[in-house]
Amino acid sequence: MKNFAFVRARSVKEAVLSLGTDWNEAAVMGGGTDLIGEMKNYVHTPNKVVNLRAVPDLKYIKQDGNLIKIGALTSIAAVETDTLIKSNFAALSKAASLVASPQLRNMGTIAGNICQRPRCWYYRDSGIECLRKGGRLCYAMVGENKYHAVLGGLGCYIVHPSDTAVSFTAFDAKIKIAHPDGEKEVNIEEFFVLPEDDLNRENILKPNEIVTEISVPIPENGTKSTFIKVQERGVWDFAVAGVAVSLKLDGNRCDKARIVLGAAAPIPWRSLDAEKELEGRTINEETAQRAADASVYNNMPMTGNAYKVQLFKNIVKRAILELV
Amino acid sequence: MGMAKTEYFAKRIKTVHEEEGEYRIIEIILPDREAEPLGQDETLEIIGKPHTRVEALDILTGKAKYTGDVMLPGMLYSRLLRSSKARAKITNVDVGKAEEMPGVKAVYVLPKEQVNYQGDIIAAVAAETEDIAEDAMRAIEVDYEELNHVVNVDMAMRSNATQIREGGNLSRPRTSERGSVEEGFSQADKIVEAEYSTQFELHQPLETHGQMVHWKDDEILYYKTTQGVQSARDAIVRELRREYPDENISSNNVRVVTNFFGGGFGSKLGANNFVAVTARLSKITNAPVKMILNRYEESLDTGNRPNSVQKYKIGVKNDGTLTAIELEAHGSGGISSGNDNLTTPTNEMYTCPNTRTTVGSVYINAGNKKPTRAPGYPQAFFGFECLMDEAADAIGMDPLELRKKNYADKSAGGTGRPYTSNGLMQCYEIGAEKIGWSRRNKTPGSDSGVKKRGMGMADLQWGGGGYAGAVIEVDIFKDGTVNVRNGSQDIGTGTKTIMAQVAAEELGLEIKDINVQIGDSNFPPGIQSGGSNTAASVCPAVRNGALEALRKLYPIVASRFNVDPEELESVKGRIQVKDKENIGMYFKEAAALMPENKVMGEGRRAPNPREYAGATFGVHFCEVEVDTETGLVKVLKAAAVHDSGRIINPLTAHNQVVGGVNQAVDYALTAERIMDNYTGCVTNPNLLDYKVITAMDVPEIDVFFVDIVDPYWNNLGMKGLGEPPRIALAAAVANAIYNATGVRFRDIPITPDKILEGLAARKEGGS
Ligand SMILES: Cc1cc2nc3c(=O)[nH]c(=O)nc-3n(C[C@H](O)[C@H](O)[C@H](O)COP(=O)(O)OP(=O)(O)OC[C@H]3O[C@@H](n4cnc5c(N)ncnc54)[C@H](O)[C@@H]3O)c2cc1C
Ligand code: SF4
Repeated sequence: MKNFAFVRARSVKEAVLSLGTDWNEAAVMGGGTDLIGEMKNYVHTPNKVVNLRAVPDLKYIKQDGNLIKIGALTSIAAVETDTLIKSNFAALSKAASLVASPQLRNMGTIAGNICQRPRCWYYRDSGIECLRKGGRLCYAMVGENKYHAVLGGLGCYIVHPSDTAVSFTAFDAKIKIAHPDGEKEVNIEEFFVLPEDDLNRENILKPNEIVTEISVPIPENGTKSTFIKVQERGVWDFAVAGVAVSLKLDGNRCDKARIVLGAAAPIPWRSLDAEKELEGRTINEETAQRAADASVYNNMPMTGNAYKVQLFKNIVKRAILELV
Repeated sequence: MGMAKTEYFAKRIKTVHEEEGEYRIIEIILPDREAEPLGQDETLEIIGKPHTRVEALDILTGKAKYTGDVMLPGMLYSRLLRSSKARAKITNVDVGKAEEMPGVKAVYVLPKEQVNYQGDIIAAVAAETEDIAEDAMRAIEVDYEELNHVVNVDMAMRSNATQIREGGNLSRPRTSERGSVEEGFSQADKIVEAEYSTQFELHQPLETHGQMVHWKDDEILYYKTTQGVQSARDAIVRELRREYPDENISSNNVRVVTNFFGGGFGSKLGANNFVAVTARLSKITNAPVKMILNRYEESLDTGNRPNSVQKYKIGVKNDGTLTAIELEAHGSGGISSGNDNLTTPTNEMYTCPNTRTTVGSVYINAGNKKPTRAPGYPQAFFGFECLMDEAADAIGMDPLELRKKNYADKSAGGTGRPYTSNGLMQCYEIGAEKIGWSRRNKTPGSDSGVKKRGMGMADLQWGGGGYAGAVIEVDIFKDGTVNVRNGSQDIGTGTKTIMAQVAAEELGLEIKDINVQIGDSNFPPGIQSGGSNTAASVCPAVRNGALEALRKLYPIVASRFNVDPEELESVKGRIQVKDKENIGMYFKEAAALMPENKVMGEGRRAPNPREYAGATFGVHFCEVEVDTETGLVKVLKAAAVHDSGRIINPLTAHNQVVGGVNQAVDYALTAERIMDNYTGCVTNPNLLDYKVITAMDVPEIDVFFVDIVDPYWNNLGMKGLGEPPRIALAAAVANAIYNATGVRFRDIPITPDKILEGLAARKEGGS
């Protein structure tokens, strides 16, 4: 690992002020389970690491009116097991339970999980300078891409690696961001960015901005949700495909639907087309199938990942029917 | 020893030595006296009973020092700079920046003009810490002139492919023939043709390759991860002599020590390609140098199991009689190694008079193969045992019945020497019962629902009966303690433990009385841990060594009681007249009477009988569940039944089978080295993307040994077990998937993309 300076920030303010304006200058660290791996492999070699661990009051899950607020340093394991989350956001608790492995869920923070870097194997090879790393070519496009995006890729075809981000998107979460001049809050859908908007980053964060909190509105009565993850191994594996579905139901009639695909696109992929197929309709085999088919509208598979299109249809349908 | 010269030579014979499928004639020295073979009904105290490994506590408590744990005063750490290109000329290597870094003690550039695969070694660095070594390694600047590379086997075979080596990308295929396949096919009622393929597999032992080398004055000491301390020593001597013609380098001043070993699966046989450069760093710096590879290097440059493409044609009569089998196959062992042997199931497994096999090798710009747990066999048995399933289907026969029908009691497909023993029939019975074979879908794919279950089976065969060559020193000390000493090593299977069991049994002592010393090249001739041969090579010699030591102790006791030493036995801690407990004394008392401070027995093993063929057998059954919507396959249960002769330690034997089954599950379903054609690089040189299975994927595994004591093979009636459990399961899984879905998958690993595409293709009308 390249030598680096280490800052143990005592406050959010100190943390953002310690970070620089350039990505190589400094990196913020939560659990370090992703960042340290990147540094060990020389994929990212920041001169300074700013550790958030010592910042007080960033580790909580609490209710505030209509919102459940999750502090940035809350472990993924805590999100998995918390009863407030289990009872209100089944899809989130399930997604958290399927992240990586128990050890990684204990170490990994929730902010780190949604901010983790892509797992594209060309990106993770320090010897390869691909588009995302400032090079001139997307190697996945001409190479091995069975795990890559079937939606939303343009130039770069990563899939967003976070499982929890998929569920957060299904619940309209808001992301609170601290920066040297203060704070702001954005909708999760504004937080993640497609390669067409920024080829090099997966979200809107600037080098000196950090996520401090994720807040999620408690769903309306009658809302049910679930999460399905397809992974090739039983544990310790990223999704080949994932989906979070949240439905507000009146009997079997769907008033409101959220369908978000994971490992489909460079961001958690909200499928408005699929949601439209369900809203105002009774949920049954047929409507579920129509929504499933719609969930991958405009897909553009690559040489090795066309199978994912059918896979998404299958799990979207399965997830919808699980809820009625 | 006052042995006449003629007598000495009379004791030597020539014998056939088989290892990793290669045959050599070697000369061996016969044991002075061979212990009476232990038969099937022998009552034994320690052999055949489960015992935890003698070093288990040391391993669990961290007391065990693996190669990576060895620390020496003044030691340095080293890293290797490896090629990032698959094929390139090296025009310049600039080490200036690296040498200037504080803490760097040596930088050495290998005399190499061209690199031929990603991971090829270019230079080495020694420094005070591992991090400094890593940074210095990365500060070395290499100018490459890139050449066209080929990393894909199909592409390498095309006529317009870049030829990556002198002599071309293809080797001349090896053909062998028995009988006449043409005639055989003409007698067949059905002919089945099918093509199967298997992936490149990486060994991925938990412990990566490494060594600590100290070149000190006149001694060169290696603490090393090796499956053969003595074969490694010999290879190191050869290599260092080449590099340092003026130095005194010989067998008596190069020493290789492997105290604890974290897995090898063949990749750690012999030396490796960085033994010399590590020694050089030690010589330059005059300090011990530690070189432990990381997972990336482990994945690129420590060996692999070649891929394979196997085209079969099999002729079968309606009653199941096989009439002819033809195999045309190829595979790649990387840049300079040939392909594995893929012919065994075709030529050996079943009675069939007519066979023809043609196997070729393809060269690509990738790291070399190394023997990988049963080299060639998991590949070949995957193809062949799926073929048997398809043949059974073609004549409407139960696949199990087809195998029984073609049971071979002689080698060479029923045409050669009789087997010393072949317990397959018992294996079939037990396995079928354990899995519940009668429950399987009579019509493949008939299981309704989204998640479909199915069952499959596959046979296996392997050599692994051991050979003569090891010499065991059994020392009985004056205080009655015992050392058993040999230059073999424990690859992790429990070699030490079974040696202690056999010695204890023979000496009439307990395991705790025996101290087994192995893993040091200075010990008496050992054998390398390969070919599943260690147990059955070493244990029979341990018996002879123990008897030899007792023969030196007996006269002392015999003179006390005025009996013939031949009348004595050593049981339950006593040396006594056979079956007369009252005439004798405690073992410890006897030892105390020895005039010298110890007696030494030297034990050898008799050669394998020439008039018989020896082989291990087994059958694996499994039940799978295929999720037809996600393409995920779960192996629910495996029943693994083995004929490996007498089982010395059922516990460690059980563990071998569990490990083999697990490796076979990822071979069947998830694990594969993936290479990028454009960059020539491995895309998954880590354990996240190279998908070995996890605890969550382990099926319920029912292990069973038929425990037939082999009547002829050696004085313990034992055969090998290390590799057999790795061979059959992938085919059983593929056959079970067929039984579940009605769709054949002929290419492993059978990942969700293949399942989904295969199921979709069938829906559209094909199959
Ligand atoms: C083997 C393995 C398997 C995995 N499998 C899965 C999986 O199946 N599903 C899944 O979702 N994830 C998976 N992961 C990812 C894992 O969940 C993440 O590593 C973890 O969530 C990151 O959390 P962390 O706190 O350790 O982040 P860190 O490693 O500390 O940081 C990760 C990234 O986020 C940035 N960051 C951290 N905190 C903040 C913050 N507060 N504000 C802004 N930026 C921040 C860091 O700079 C860094 O770039 C896997 C990881 C590994 C190593
Ligand atoms: S998908 Fe993106 S990260 Fe991967 S190679 Fe292409 S540009 Fe690079």
